[in-house]
Amino acid sequence: MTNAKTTTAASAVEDQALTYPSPFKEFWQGFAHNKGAVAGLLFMTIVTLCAILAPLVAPHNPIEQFREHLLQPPVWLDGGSASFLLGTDELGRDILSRLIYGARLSLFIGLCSVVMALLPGVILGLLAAFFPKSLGSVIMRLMDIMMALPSLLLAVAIMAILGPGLLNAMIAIATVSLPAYVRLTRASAMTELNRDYVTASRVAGAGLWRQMFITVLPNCMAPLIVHATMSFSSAILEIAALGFLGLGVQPPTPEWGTMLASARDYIERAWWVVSLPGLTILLSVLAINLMGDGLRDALDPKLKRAA
Amino acid sequence: MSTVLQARDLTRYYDVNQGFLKPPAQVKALNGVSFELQAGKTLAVVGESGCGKSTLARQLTLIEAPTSGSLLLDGQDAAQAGKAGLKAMRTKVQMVFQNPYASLNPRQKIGTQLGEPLAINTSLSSAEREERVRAMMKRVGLRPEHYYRYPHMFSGGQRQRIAIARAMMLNPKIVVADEPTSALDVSIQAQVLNLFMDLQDEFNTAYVFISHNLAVVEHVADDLMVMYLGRAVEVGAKETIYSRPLHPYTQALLSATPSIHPEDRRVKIKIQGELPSPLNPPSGCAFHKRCPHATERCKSEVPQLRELEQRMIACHRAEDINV
Repeated sequence: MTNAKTTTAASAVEDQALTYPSPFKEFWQGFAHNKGAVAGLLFMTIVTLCAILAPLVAPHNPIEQFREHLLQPPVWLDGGSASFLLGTDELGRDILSRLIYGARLSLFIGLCSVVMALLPGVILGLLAAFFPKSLGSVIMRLMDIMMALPSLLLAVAIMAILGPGLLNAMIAIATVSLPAYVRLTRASAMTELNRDYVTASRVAGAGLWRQMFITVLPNCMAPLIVHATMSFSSAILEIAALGFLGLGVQPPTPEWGTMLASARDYIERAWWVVSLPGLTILLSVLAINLMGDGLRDALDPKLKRAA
Repeated sequence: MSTVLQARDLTRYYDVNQGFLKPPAQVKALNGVSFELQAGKTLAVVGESGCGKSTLARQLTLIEAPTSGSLLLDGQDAAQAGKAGLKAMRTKVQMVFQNPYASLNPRQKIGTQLGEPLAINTSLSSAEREERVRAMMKRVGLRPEHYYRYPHMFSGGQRQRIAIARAMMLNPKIVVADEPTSALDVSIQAQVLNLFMDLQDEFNTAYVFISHNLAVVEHVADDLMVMYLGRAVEVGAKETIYSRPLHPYTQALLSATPSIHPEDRRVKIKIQGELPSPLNPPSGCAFHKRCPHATERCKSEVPQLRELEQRMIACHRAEDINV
């Protein structure tokens, strides 16, 4: 009996040596190794939670105007009050509440326009790399045309066709950032396609879809992840530009970019009205970029230590 | 003994763009190659760089369709097989590449990569696949814990073992090995070659072994095909050709093999010049510009393969120069 027990114990120890952590745990180990990425994740979690729980967290209604508190400075400056922690804007609205509510829209816009550009961009880029002569040249010439137009002009033109509105603004921004994804994907897929391991999977009988998404795509992810996190921030700023032209988010709705754009007149008299939304965008973008870095490293097996 | 592979007059031409306003030129990378391969035997293909060895490998593995000629795999014609037929035939020919650092997907674990051919071509459950993969890993001398590792954690020799294991997963009839040992340390080369030969004994696989290392070829080959500029110049049993090469090019190649023992050294035959460009091959015998025995006939008439002293040879003057 004891003998049997020891053998099972021994084989359990052996099994332990032979089993590996689950893919998620393995990913987390790589990710947690990067302190900056964890900090970024923490910051973004807080921002996201604030956005979700905005009605509970925000001290005031974001569109309520306190007429007796116009352009009141933040609490730590002379003339600030504890009821408006980050001060008020030109219409007497609480900036903290607007930032918290604005996070909902800004994060949503950033995420949606990145996803809406990334997915078709990757698929078109892979198709262009796999069929360089026929489909590829058509796709790439189209992308060249899109790149030749100034991006804001193109976005405005698309908005003019689709009509104003938040969804249309996101479509316009996604369309404008599409060529960069297509070019990036195509370029890295073309270099990977010449490698022997792609030929090997073809010899093993892999079909087109398997080659595209299982064999080649994971090896092209590094520049895509970096670019996606960068374009997250530019999406927020571009939607602000569209909102400024009256095409994106309409005024009373709180949104970071719109707040930034509408407060520029007061930059000399009341710096906090423009700086605080700007700082929020900056921090979020920084956090997302750090996360992107960590994500790229955690997904790269070459940076993992041999277990 | 059964013939698993039969190539008849295989040719492969590539069109290359020469630039603006110039007509595209044709590279005759493979210019009429015929041979047969028996089950469980090794055919070595030798020749200098650019003679069409790797193009031949691409035709044999059905990655590319030949421009003309026929390829019979296990009695089936590749040109006549439909899409489904071709897919079934692909599983019969597998390949081992020259550079083990580029031939494994850096983002996939070894277990996944070895299981991929099974996942694509069979309906085995994932547990059955894992069992087969582990058995094959053990067979090629990898430890069980390697299953979860990534390619960059292995040495060149280990990677080449993994590549060999992947090629053998589907139990193919033919394995095309494109210079499988040239990227490895000399100390590892022998191990890998022995693994190749052990696997051949076990699975009765036929090998097409592409190499320019004549010492390696002498070790593994049963038959030998010497290629020059897209054509076979001498084909025959290894012993026959090594003991008495008849084609001037083969003679030059074999005389270039270094030897430690002075008594084994042959008189070095130096051939002049470079391999001509396949864009603009010489008329007649492709070798005539570098051949010490060339005559007027060699310049005008392309020599055909013919039988001479138990081998096939493509040389007009084979009898005269080997008296």
